Amino acid sequence: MTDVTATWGLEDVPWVHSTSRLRALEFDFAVRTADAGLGRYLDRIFGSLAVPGSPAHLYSLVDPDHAPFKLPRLFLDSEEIFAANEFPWVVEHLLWHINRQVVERSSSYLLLHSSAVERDGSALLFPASMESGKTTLAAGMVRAGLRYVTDEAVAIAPATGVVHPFPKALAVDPGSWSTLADFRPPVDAGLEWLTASQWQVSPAAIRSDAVAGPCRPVLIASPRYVAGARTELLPLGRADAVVMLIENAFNFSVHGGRGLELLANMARACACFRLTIGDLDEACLLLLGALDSLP
Amino acid sequence: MRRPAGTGAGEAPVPYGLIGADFCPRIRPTALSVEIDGEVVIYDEERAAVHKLNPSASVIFSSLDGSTTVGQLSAELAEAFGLERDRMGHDVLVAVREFGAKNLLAGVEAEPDRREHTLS
Repeated sequence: MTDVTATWGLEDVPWVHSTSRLRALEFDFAVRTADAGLGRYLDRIFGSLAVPGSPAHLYSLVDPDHAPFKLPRLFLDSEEIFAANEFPWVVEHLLWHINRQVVERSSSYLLLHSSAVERDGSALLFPASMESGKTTLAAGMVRAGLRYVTDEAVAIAPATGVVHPFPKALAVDPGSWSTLADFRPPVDAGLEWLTASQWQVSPAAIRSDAVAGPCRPVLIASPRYVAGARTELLPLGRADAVVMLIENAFNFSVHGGRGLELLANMARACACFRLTIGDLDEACLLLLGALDSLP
Repeated sequence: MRRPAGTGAGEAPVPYGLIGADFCPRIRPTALSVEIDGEVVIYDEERAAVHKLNPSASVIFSSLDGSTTVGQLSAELAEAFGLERDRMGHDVLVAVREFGAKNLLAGVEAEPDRREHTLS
């Protein structure tokens, strides 16, 4: 019996599309596919990360029609990193893998598990654990006119305290689809499966000027979505804010004492809150009011 | 003169519950701290754990200089804050034992780290 994988190679795939070079913090990559429709979709969701030049790394999405044993696979450069029975799982894994690579390769920044938005160079940070409503809150604030920094990882330069954007597509889960119905991303016919379990919303699709530049934190609000709850923005002590930021840091141990000083200085410079979200619009209004009242 | 317990290199660690008035508490180099609005936040590098102290405990923690015993510190704080010495002695001892339990003091056998650690 012949081992198909022994003779098969990535060069055997008729690639029809590669994204631009994409830069997400310290991770530099592109993605190629043999499906033109999927390629257009990738261009849309990664558009805000596009930069000129050649990528340092290349993902290859191998669909069932071009994979040995019709088993779709994902490669990073020449290494196979994932295979699954269903192609949607491979695309899902690609998005997860990119986020993970960004965090692992960007340790020069202090990285917080947080979404963030910006207005006039001032950043509002929304650190919290998973499923707290970070992405939905950032989306609501962008809809309210602010600019998008990230929905996943806030990157703080230790030397300056400046936040550097990681404007990946907003990953909107089904629970927020009705609230953010106007953000539903377009997909080509036949590719509806790409939006079946999560929407990837390009910030550029929300507004052409929706992506922020580097900015300085002025407000920290740790969100928690509670269905049916009264929406409240309550003050948070600065020491409690530092604890909360450490608990939501991806790589605090890398930065040690310098990171502790950095987060303490950030808390000293910011208005700090806990935000209970029962209604997204109300939460956005409360945050805008708090932002407007800052000195 | 009796050497304060828990300060000598190579000595067996003191169980945190046995810390007494003659113990000389010294903050571990792995216990990084910062004071903000009168409260101390500590990051234990060894256990990757974070602690926040209330204002009273923050004053005690910030007073640990590695050369003052619990008894001496109690006397100094009682005088500084105009409080009864015995009461202050009790509060300082409880706080220092708590610091020891949380792995913040050198030469002290802390409580085991019971948190679950998972590989990611």
